[in-house]
Amino acid sequence: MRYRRWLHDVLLCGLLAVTLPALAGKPQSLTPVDPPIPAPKTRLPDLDGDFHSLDAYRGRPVIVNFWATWCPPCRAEMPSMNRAWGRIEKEGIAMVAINVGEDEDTIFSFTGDYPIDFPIWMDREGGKVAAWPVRGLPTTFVLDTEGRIVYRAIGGRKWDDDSLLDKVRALRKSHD
Amino acid sequence: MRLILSCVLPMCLAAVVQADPQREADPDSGLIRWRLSLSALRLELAQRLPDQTRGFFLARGFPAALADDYARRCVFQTIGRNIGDSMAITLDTRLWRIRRAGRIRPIAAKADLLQAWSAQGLPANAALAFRWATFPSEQTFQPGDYNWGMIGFGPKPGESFDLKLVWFEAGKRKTHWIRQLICAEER
Repeated sequence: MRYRRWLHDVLLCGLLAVTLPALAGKPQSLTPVDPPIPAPKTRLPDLDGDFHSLDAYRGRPVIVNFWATWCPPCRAEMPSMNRAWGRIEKEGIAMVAINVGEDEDTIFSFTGDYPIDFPIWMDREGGKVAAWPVRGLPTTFVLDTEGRIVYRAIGGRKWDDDSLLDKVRALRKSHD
Repeated sequence: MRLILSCVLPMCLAAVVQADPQREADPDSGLIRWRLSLSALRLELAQRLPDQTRGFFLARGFPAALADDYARRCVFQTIGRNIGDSMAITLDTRLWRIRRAGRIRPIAAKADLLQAWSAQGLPANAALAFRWATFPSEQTFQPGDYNWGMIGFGPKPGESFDLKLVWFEAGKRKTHWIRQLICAEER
Protein backbone atom coordinates (compact mmCIF):
# COMPACT_ATOMS: atom_id res chain seq x y z
CA MET A 1 0.00 0.00 0.00
CA ARG A 2 2.79 2.41 0.97
CA TYR A 3 4.61 1.47 -2.25
CA ARG A 4 1.52 2.31 -4.31
CA ARG A 5 1.16 5.70 -2.62
CA TRP A 6 4.84 6.41 -3.25
CA LEU A 7 4.50 5.38 -6.88
CA HIS A 8 1.47 7.64 -7.21
CA ASP A 9 3.44 10.59 -5.81
CA VAL A 10 6.35 9.84 -8.13
CA LEU A 11 4.12 9.74 -11.19
CA LEU A 12 2.25 12.91 -10.21
CA CYS A 13 5.40 14.89 -9.47
CA GLY A 14 7.03 13.56 -12.63
CA LEU A 15 4.09 14.72 -14.69
CA LEU A 16 4.20 18.16 -13.09
CA ALA A 17 7.95 18.42 -13.54
CA VAL A 18 7.60 17.77 -17.24
CA THR A 19 4.45 19.75 -17.98
CA LEU A 20 4.50 22.81 -15.73
CA PRO A 21 7.49 24.57 -17.28
CA ALA A 22 5.96 24.10 -20.71
CA LEU A 23 2.56 25.34 -19.59
CA ALA A 24 3.88 28.30 -17.67
CA GLY A 25 5.76 29.85 -20.61
CA LYS A 26 8.65 32.17 -19.95
CA PRO A 27 8.35 35.93 -19.87
CA GLN A 28 10.25 37.64 -22.63
CA SER A 29 13.44 39.37 -21.74
CA LEU A 30 15.71 42.23 -22.75
CA THR A 31 19.26 42.03 -21.50
CA PRO A 32 20.41 45.22 -19.77
CA VAL A 33 23.69 46.62 -21.05
CA ASP A 34 25.34 47.86 -17.89
CA PRO A 35 27.04 50.23 -18.03
CA PRO A 36 25.34 51.62 -21.14
CA ILE A 37 27.61 52.12 -24.13
CA PRO A 38 27.34 54.84 -26.78
CA ALA A 39 25.70 53.55 -29.95
CA PRO A 40 28.05 53.65 -32.95
CA LYS A 41 27.56 56.62 -35.26
CA THR A 42 25.15 55.34 -37.87
CA ARG A 43 24.07 57.13 -41.03
CA LEU A 44 22.41 55.05 -43.72
CA PRO A 45 20.03 55.39 -46.68
CA ASP A 46 16.39 54.38 -46.63
CA LEU A 47 14.70 52.57 -49.51
CA ASP A 48 14.38 55.86 -51.44
CA GLY A 49 18.08 56.61 -51.11
CA ASP A 50 17.61 59.40 -48.57
CA PHE A 51 20.20 59.31 -45.78
CA HIS A 52 19.29 59.35 -42.10
CA SER A 53 21.29 59.46 -38.90
CA LEU A 54 20.51 57.92 -35.52
CA ASP A 55 21.63 61.22 -34.00
CA ALA A 56 18.38 62.73 -35.28
CA TYR A 57 16.51 60.66 -32.70
CA ARG A 58 18.46 62.06 -29.74
CA GLY A 59 16.02 62.85 -26.92
CA ARG A 60 13.85 59.81 -27.72
CA PRO A 61 14.33 56.13 -26.91
CA VAL A 62 15.06 54.17 -30.10
CA ILE A 63 14.60 50.51 -30.95
CA VAL A 64 17.24 49.51 -33.53
CA ASN A 65 16.73 46.14 -35.20
CA PHE A 66 19.29 44.44 -37.48
CA TRP A 67 17.72 41.97 -39.86
CA ALA A 68 17.68 40.33 -43.29
CA THR A 69 14.82 39.02 -45.40
CA TRP A 70 16.24 35.47 -45.60
CA CYS A 71 16.47 35.17 -41.81
CA PRO A 72 13.43 33.20 -40.53
CA PRO A 73 13.34 34.64 -36.98
CA CYS A 74 13.64 38.15 -38.50
CA ARG A 75 10.60 37.42 -40.64
CA ALA A 76 8.77 35.98 -37.66
CA GLU A 77 9.25 39.04 -35.46
CA MET A 78 8.56 41.73 -38.10
CA PRO A 79 4.75 41.66 -37.81
CA SER A 80 5.01 42.11 -34.03
CA MET A 81 7.46 44.97 -34.53
CA ASN A 82 5.01 46.63 -36.86
CA ARG A 83 2.20 46.19 -34.32
CA ALA A 84 4.45 47.62 -31.62
CA TRP A 85 5.19 50.59 -33.88
CA GLY A 86 1.46 51.25 -34.14
CA ARG A 87 1.42 51.72 -30.36
CA ILE A 88 4.68 53.54 -29.67
CA GLU A 89 4.84 55.89 -32.65
CA LYS A 90 2.78 58.50 -30.83
CA GLU A 91 4.52 57.91 -27.51
CA GLY A 92 7.78 59.58 -28.47
CA ILE A 93 9.64 56.34 -29.19
CA ALA A 94 11.49 55.69 -32.46
CA MET A 95 12.05 52.39 -34.23
CA VAL A 96 14.41 51.59 -37.11
CA ALA A 97 15.05 48.33 -38.93
CA ILE A 98 18.51 48.15 -40.51
CA ASN A 99 18.70 45.57 -43.27
CA VAL A 100 22.06 43.90 -43.62
CA GLY A 101 23.50 43.14 -47.04
CA GLU A 102 20.47 43.26 -49.33
CA ASP A 103 19.21 45.57 -52.07
CA GLU A 104 16.06 47.65 -52.51
CA ASP A 105 14.31 45.14 -54.75
CA THR A 106 14.71 42.32 -52.27
CA ILE A 107 13.42 44.46 -49.41
CA PHE A 108 10.51 45.84 -51.46
CA SER A 109 9.51 42.32 -52.33
CA PHE A 110 9.64 41.36 -48.65
CA THR A 111 7.52 44.32 -47.54
CA GLY A 112 4.89 43.26 -50.05
CA ASP A 113 4.32 40.20 -47.88
CA TYR A 114 5.22 41.78 -44.53
CA PRO A 115 4.02 45.40 -44.42
CA ILE A 116 6.39 47.60 -42.42
CA ASP A 117 5.36 51.15 -41.51
CA PHE A 118 8.46 52.18 -39.57
CA PRO A 119 11.74 53.30 -41.19
CA ILE A 120 13.92 50.74 -42.94
CA TRP A 121 17.54 51.65 -43.58
CA MET A 122 19.97 49.69 -45.69
CA ASP A 123 23.50 48.63 -44.80
CA ARG A 124 24.25 47.02 -48.14
CA GLU A 125 27.96 46.54 -47.64
CA GLY A 126 27.67 45.58 -43.98
CA GLY A 127 30.02 48.40 -43.03
CA LYS A 128 27.85 49.89 -40.29
CA VAL A 129 26.66 46.69 -38.65
CA ALA A 130 30.31 45.75 -38.13
CA ALA A 131 30.62 48.63 -35.66
CA TRP A 132 27.76 47.31 -33.52
CA PRO A 133 28.04 44.32 -31.15
CA VAL A 134 26.05 42.08 -33.47
CA ARG A 135 26.95 38.40 -33.90
CA GLY A 136 23.78 37.11 -35.53
CA LEU A 137 20.46 38.24 -37.01
CA PRO A 138 18.12 39.39 -35.70
CA THR A 139 19.71 41.44 -32.97
CA THR A 140 17.88 44.42 -31.50
CA PHE A 141 19.14 47.25 -29.33
CA VAL A 142 17.29 49.80 -27.27
CA LEU A 143 18.92 53.22 -27.03
CA ASP A 144 18.14 55.70 -24.31
CA THR A 145 17.44 59.37 -24.93
CA GLU A 146 21.17 60.07 -24.94
CA GLY A 147 21.91 57.58 -27.71
CA ARG A 148 23.39 54.92 -25.44
CA ILE A 149 22.69 51.20 -25.77
CA VAL A 150 20.83 50.18 -22.63
CA TYR A 151 19.20 46.89 -23.68
CA ARG A 152 19.99 44.14 -26.16
CA ALA A 153 17.99 41.19 -27.51
CA ILE A 154 19.65 38.42 -29.48
CA GLY A 155 17.13 36.49 -31.53
CA GLY A 156 13.54 37.38 -32.22
CA ARG A 157 10.98 38.65 -29.74
CA LYS A 158 7.26 39.42 -29.76
CA TRP A 159 7.70 43.17 -29.73
CA ASP A 160 4.05 44.06 -29.15
CA ASP A 161 4.38 42.61 -25.66
CA ASP A 162 3.95 45.35 -23.05
CA SER A 163 6.45 43.64 -20.76
CA LEU A 164 9.10 44.61 -23.33
CA LEU A 165 7.64 47.95 -24.43
CA ASP A 166 7.23 49.17 -20.85
CA LYS A 167 11.00 48.95 -20.43
CA VAL A 168 11.39 51.24 -23.43
CA ARG A 169 8.64 53.57 -22.23
CA ALA A 170 10.38 53.83 -18.87
CA LEU A 171 13.43 55.28 -20.61
CA ARG A 172 11.28 58.06 -22.00
CA LYS A 173 9.57 58.75 -18.72
CA SER A 174 12.81 58.86 -16.78
CA HIS A 175 13.90 61.80 -18.91
CA ASP A 176 10.61 63.71 -18.94
CA MET B 1 10.47 13.60 3.03
CA ARG B 2 8.61 11.02 1.00
CA LEU B 3 7.09 13.75 -1.15
CA ILE B 4 10.44 15.46 -1.65
CA LEU B 5 12.07 12.21 -2.75
CA SER B 6 9.13 11.51 -4.98
CA CYS B 7 9.62 14.83 -6.73
CA VAL B 8 13.42 14.82 -6.95
CA LEU B 9 13.62 11.41 -8.56
CA PRO B 10 11.46 12.17 -11.60
CA MET B 11 13.20 15.51 -12.07
CA CYS B 12 16.52 13.69 -12.24
CA LEU B 13 15.00 11.23 -14.68
CA ALA B 14 13.58 14.08 -16.75
CA ALA B 15 17.03 15.69 -16.90
CA VAL B 16 18.52 12.45 -18.18
CA VAL B 17 15.79 12.03 -20.76
CA GLN B 18 16.21 15.59 -22.04
CA ALA B 19 19.94 15.01 -22.59
CA ASP B 20 19.06 12.46 -25.27
CA PRO B 21 18.21 14.26 -28.47
CA GLN B 22 14.72 14.00 -29.85
CA ARG B 23 15.00 12.98 -33.45
CA GLU B 24 12.18 13.62 -35.86
CA ALA B 25 11.82 13.52 -39.61
CA ASP B 26 9.85 16.12 -41.53
CA PRO B 27 6.92 14.21 -43.09
CA ASP B 28 7.20 16.11 -46.38
CA SER B 29 10.92 16.47 -46.97
CA GLY B 30 12.15 13.53 -44.91
CA LEU B 31 14.86 15.79 -43.50
CA ILE B 32 15.79 14.97 -39.90
CA ARG B 33 15.96 17.39 -36.97
CA TRP B 34 17.67 16.67 -33.64
CA ARG B 35 16.61 18.61 -30.54
CA LEU B 36 18.09 18.45 -27.10
CA SER B 37 18.05 20.39 -23.86
CA LEU B 38 21.11 20.40 -21.65
CA SER B 39 20.57 22.51 -18.56
CA ALA B 40 20.23 26.10 -19.86
CA LEU B 41 21.15 25.17 -23.44
CA ARG B 42 18.57 24.11 -25.98
CA LEU B 43 20.06 23.09 -29.29
CA GLU B 44 18.45 22.10 -32.55
CA LEU B 45 20.27 20.66 -35.53
CA ALA B 46 18.29 20.36 -38.75
CA GLN B 47 19.61 18.68 -41.89
CA ARG B 48 19.86 20.84 -44.99
CA LEU B 49 19.89 19.32 -48.44
CA PRO B 50 23.13 20.12 -50.25
CA ASP B 51 21.01 21.68 -52.99
CA GLN B 52 19.30 24.01 -50.48
CA THR B 53 22.65 25.32 -49.34
CA ARG B 54 24.05 25.44 -52.86
CA GLY B 55 21.04 27.45 -54.06
CA PHE B 56 21.15 29.82 -51.09
CA PHE B 57 24.75 30.83 -51.66
CA LEU B 58 24.55 30.86 -55.47
CA ALA B 59 21.73 33.39 -55.12
CA ARG B 60 24.00 35.55 -52.97
CA GLY B 61 26.96 35.80 -55.28
CA PHE B 62 28.96 32.65 -54.58
CA PRO B 63 30.84 31.21 -57.56
CA ALA B 64 29.43 27.77 -58.39
CA ALA B 65 32.52 25.87 -57.25
CA LEU B 66 32.59 27.54 -53.84
CA ALA B 67 28.84 27.16 -53.31
CA ASP B 68 29.26 23.48 -54.10
CA ASP B 69 32.24 23.22 -51.77
CA TYR B 70 30.22 24.46 -48.80
CA ALA B 71 27.01 22.62 -49.77
CA ARG B 72 28.86 19.30 -49.58
CA ARG B 73 30.24 19.94 -46.09
CA CYS B 74 27.27 18.42 -44.25
CA VAL B 75 25.49 21.65 -43.45
CA PHE B 76 22.95 21.76 -40.64
CA GLN B 77 20.71 24.66 -39.68
CA THR B 78 21.68 25.13 -36.06
CA ILE B 79 19.62 26.89 -33.42
CA GLY B 80 21.09 27.65 -30.01
CA ARG B 81 18.93 29.07 -27.24
CA ASN B 82 19.39 29.96 -23.59
CA ILE B 83 16.34 28.54 -21.83
CA GLY B 84 17.69 29.21 -18.35
CA ASP B 85 16.53 31.87 -15.92
CA SER B 86 19.68 33.61 -14.87
CA MET B 87 22.92 32.23 -16.26
CA ALA B 88 24.63 33.33 -19.44
CA ILE B 89 25.77 30.55 -21.74
CA THR B 90 28.51 30.75 -24.34
CA LEU B 91 28.69 28.52 -27.38
CA ASP B 92 32.11 28.21 -28.97
CA THR B 93 31.95 26.04 -32.06
CA ARG B 94 35.73 26.26 -32.44
CA LEU B 95 35.87 23.82 -29.52
CA TRP B 96 33.33 21.40 -30.99
CA ARG B 97 34.67 18.15 -32.40
CA ILE B 98 33.32 15.56 -34.78
CA ARG B 99 34.15 11.88 -34.57
CA ARG B 100 33.95 9.71 -37.64
CA ALA B 101 35.63 6.43 -38.51
CA GLY B 102 37.66 6.59 -35.29
CA ARG B 103 39.09 10.04 -36.00
CA ILE B 104 38.29 13.17 -34.04
CA ARG B 105 38.71 16.56 -35.64
CA PRO B 106 37.48 20.15 -35.36
CA ILE B 107 34.93 21.84 -37.59
CA ALA B 108 36.32 24.09 -40.32
CA ALA B 109 36.31 27.61 -38.90
CA LYS B 110 34.29 30.32 -40.65
CA ALA B 111 37.25 32.66 -40.70
CA ASP B 112 39.49 30.03 -42.30
CA LEU B 113 36.91 29.22 -44.97
CA LEU B 114 36.42 32.88 -45.79
CA GLN B 115 40.15 33.46 -46.02
CA ALA B 116 40.61 30.50 -48.37
CA TRP B 117 37.63 31.46 -50.51
CA SER B 118 38.66 35.11 -50.69
CA ALA B 119 41.91 33.95 -52.23
CA GLN B 120 39.78 32.09 -54.79
CA GLY B 121 37.82 35.20 -55.72
CA LEU B 122 34.81 35.15 -53.39
CA PRO B 123 33.01 38.50 -53.94
CA ALA B 124 32.53 40.80 -50.96
CA ASN B 125 28.71 40.56 -51.05
CA ALA B 126 28.93 36.77 -51.00
CA ALA B 127 31.32 36.88 -48.06
CA LEU B 128 28.86 39.14 -46.24
CA ALA B 129 26.02 36.67 -46.86
CA PHE B 130 28.17 33.81 -45.57
CA ARG B 131 29.18 35.80 -42.51
CA TRP B 132 25.55 36.42 -41.48
CA ALA B 133 23.90 33.20 -42.62
CA THR B 134 26.26 30.93 -40.73
CA PHE B 135 26.33 30.32 -37.00
CA PRO B 136 28.81 32.52 -35.10
CA SER B 137 32.01 30.80 -34.05
CA GLU B 138 31.54 32.11 -30.54
CA GLN B 139 28.55 33.80 -28.96
CA THR B 140 27.18 34.46 -25.49
CA PHE B 141 23.46 34.11 -24.86
CA GLN B 142 21.64 35.70 -21.96
CA PRO B 143 18.36 34.07 -20.79
CA GLY B 144 15.82 34.28 -23.61
CA ASP B 145 18.43 34.91 -26.32
CA TYR B 146 18.81 32.63 -29.29
CA ASN B 147 20.49 32.56 -32.64
CA TRP B 148 20.62 30.34 -35.61
CA GLY B 149 22.69 29.79 -38.65
CA MET B 150 24.28 27.14 -40.79
CA ILE B 151 27.21 25.02 -39.67
CA GLY B 152 29.13 22.87 -42.13
CA PHE B 153 30.38 19.92 -40.09
CA GLY B 154 32.54 18.48 -42.84
CA PRO B 155 31.58 14.88 -43.67
CA LYS B 156 30.23 14.06 -47.12
CA PRO B 157 26.51 13.85 -47.96
CA GLY B 158 24.95 10.71 -46.49
CA GLU B 159 27.73 10.10 -43.96
CA SER B 160 27.14 9.93 -40.22
CA PHE B 161 29.23 11.23 -37.34
CA ASP B 162 29.24 11.97 -33.61
CA LEU B 163 29.38 15.56 -32.44
CA LYS B 164 31.00 16.80 -29.24
CA LEU B 165 29.34 19.98 -27.99
CA VAL B 166 31.26 22.36 -25.79
CA TRP B 167 29.63 25.28 -24.03
CA PHE B 168 30.02 27.37 -20.93
CA GLU B 169 27.39 28.07 -18.30
CA ALA B 170 28.28 30.88 -15.96
CA GLY B 171 31.85 30.32 -17.08
CA LYS B 172 31.85 26.59 -16.32
CA ARG B 173 32.81 24.35 -19.22
CA LYS B 174 30.33 21.64 -20.20
CA THR B 175 30.50 18.96 -22.86
CA HIS B 176 28.11 16.48 -24.40
CA TRP B 177 28.38 13.98 -27.26
CA ILE B 178 25.53 13.61 -29.74
CA ARG B 179 25.72 10.23 -31.43
CA GLN B 180 24.96 9.38 -35.01
CA LEU B 181 24.09 12.63 -36.69
CA ILE B 182 23.49 12.00 -40.36
CA CYS B 183 24.33 14.34 -43.23
CA ALA B 184 21.53 14.84 -45.75
CA GLU B 185 22.10 13.11 -49.04
CA GLU B 186 22.16 14.70 -52.49
CA ARG B 187 18.78 14.43 -54.19
